[in-house]
This record gives sequence, structure tokens and C-alpha cells, in this order.
Amino acid sequence: MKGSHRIIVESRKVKYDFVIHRNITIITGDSGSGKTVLIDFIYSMMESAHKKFRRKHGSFK
Amino acid sequence: MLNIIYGDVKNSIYNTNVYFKNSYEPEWLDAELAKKMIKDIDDSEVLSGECINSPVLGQIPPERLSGGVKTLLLILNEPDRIFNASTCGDNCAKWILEIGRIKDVTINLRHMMSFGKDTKFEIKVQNGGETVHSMKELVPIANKYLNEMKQE
Repeated sequence: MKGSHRIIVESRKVKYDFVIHRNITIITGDSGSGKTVLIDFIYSMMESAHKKFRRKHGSFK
Repeated sequence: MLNIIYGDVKNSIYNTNVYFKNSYEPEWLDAELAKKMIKDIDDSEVLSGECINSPVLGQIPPERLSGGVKTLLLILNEPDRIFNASTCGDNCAKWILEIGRIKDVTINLRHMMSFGKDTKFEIKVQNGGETVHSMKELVPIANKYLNEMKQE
């Protein structure tokens, strides 16, 4: 990964807004701090984007 | 009494998330201690055995509680099993100590969990049988056994 990338994901009740800089980003935090919620959000967005891409182009190469 | 086994343990339940999903009982959430832990860790209110009110997620089933809370509930309700408590953040440590005060439990840890720099407790480290009463006593002992863990 090159450069920095700002990540924003939100629902009606919670918003994540952060910047990642490196190939590997480690998310740490106490139990109940929202780590899994963030990952689920990103996964849902990726899954949705992938399905949309496949409908339009076939599949990711 | 709280017992800890550090490192790889063959008969421990490693994936507490999957285990909880397939084994929890709604009655577990009726206990006052369970409600206190869920309130403290997840900032959520137990409405019933199958419903918790989360300020972020709305009304959720127990499966959507945080991993740490699920592990605490397992330790509390199935004290005969050894659960991987490295699924818990350090904010769960005081609750693990609390559970250890009311019943004999054994947990498996694969990292250095902090029980509080100035906290006094009684923990038995099963790897070598040592009994410790503070982090100052626990850290070098835990370090020794964690370093012995095989690199996978």
C-alpha cells in the first residue's frame, strides 16, 4: 500500500474516521470498544462493492 | 480461586466466540453479576435472556455481545472448562478476578494480561504451581511460561 488512506464508515449511531499509513494496520482496544463492529462494517461495504462490481464486470481479477 | 495456565493448552476452548454461540443459555443473563459485566464492558442493559440493549447496535441477541463479555459469561457459567481468556481485553481482568473470588475457575492465557498494577489478588499459576499476589510477582513467572510457547 502506498501513501495514506482515510477510512470513514458510519451507521446511524456510530462513526469511524481514521487514517491508515502502512501495509499492516493493527487495531487494538479493550473488549466492547468496537473493533468487531468496525470490521463488520468494512466487510459489509466490501461485500456490497464486490457484488456490484461482479454484476457490472464479471469478477475481480 | 483463580487458576491460570499460560501457553498452549490442549484441552482449552480456544475459540470462545464459536463455543458461546452454540452453548449459551438465556438464564445466564439473569444473574446480577452477568448484568454488571455486560453494563461495564459493553455499556449495555440486559432486557431478557435473549435481548440486550446496546447504545451502538440497538437491541441485540447475546451472540452480538463483545468477545470479552462472552468469555466472561462462559468462565462464570462453565467453571469446569478451561477457556482462552486471551480473547478478553484488560478491562475484563477485574471481572476475572471477581469470578475467581466466588468459585474455582481455571483460564488459559496466551499473553500478559494486566490485573492492575496495584491490585492485590491470589492467583495460582498451574504451569509450575506458583501462587502470586500482585503483578510484580506474576509478571516474571508468566513471562517464563509465555516464552516457552511454541511458535506456530
